[in-house]
Amino acid sequence: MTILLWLYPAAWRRRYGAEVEQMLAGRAVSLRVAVDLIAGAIDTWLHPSQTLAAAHAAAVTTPEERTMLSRILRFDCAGVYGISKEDQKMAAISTIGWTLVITLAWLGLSLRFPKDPRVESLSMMPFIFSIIYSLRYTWLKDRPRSVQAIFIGGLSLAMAVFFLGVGWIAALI
Amino acid sequence: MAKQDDELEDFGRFTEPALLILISLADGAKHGYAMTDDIEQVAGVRFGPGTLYGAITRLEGRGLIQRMESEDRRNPYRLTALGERALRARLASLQAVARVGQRRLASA
Repeated sequence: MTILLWLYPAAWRRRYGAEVEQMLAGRAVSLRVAVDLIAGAIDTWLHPSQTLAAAHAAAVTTPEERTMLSRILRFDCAGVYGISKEDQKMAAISTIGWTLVITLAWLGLSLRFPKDPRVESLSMMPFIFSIIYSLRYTWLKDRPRSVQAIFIGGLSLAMAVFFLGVGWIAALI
Repeated sequence: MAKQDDELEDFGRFTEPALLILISLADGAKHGYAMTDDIEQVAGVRFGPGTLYGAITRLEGRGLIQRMESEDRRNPYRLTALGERALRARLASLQAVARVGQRRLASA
């Protein structure tokens, strides 16, 4: 069960990992706990300014500084993980650009294969891929290119396979 | 909700766990496992570690609770003065709502 803690950001694991491991040590393995941990990991990645404020503040010395830092992080006034305005701009441009390009490609496909459930099932992919791809300018920006490629490619492929699977099932019904 | 409730306002699905954690810590410092047991006794719900620590990280990040250093791996947490004020405000607000509900039920 503790392997699921690797789904959490490193800063979070450094702060809370040992405590949660200790908690899990006294528990039987259950699907409910596994789902709870996975949901917690997703939440931590999605809301870093709320969930990692304490981990960042822990590195600061005085209580006054800690309170100030936690409040700054809470309102996203600081560049968490060193994400600059330029990075945010590139992520936004990339998201919009890729969404437009892939939506056009998808429209072409849907004209070529009208009312095909497999094509229809991919209708969300332009936006989903664009969001995933934009991570290379934000959360993945300091990672090696190989890690970025594996994360972006793997996650996009997994999502595409999932939607295609749904479309395939819909085509069978 | 009153303005002084702001500290818990944007906790989303963690609002209830956060409130129960604050209540659990109101009578003294506890580590995660002890909080889970205490909350189960008080409210009849047992939070999974993902939910519990999702709420703890938010509370700690806001300065409402504080981690105390410990020799073993189970660090206890305690309420801060800010946390105590937020808890008092939230409980007062809930009491006011409950009073209105009871009054309306009584006059129905």
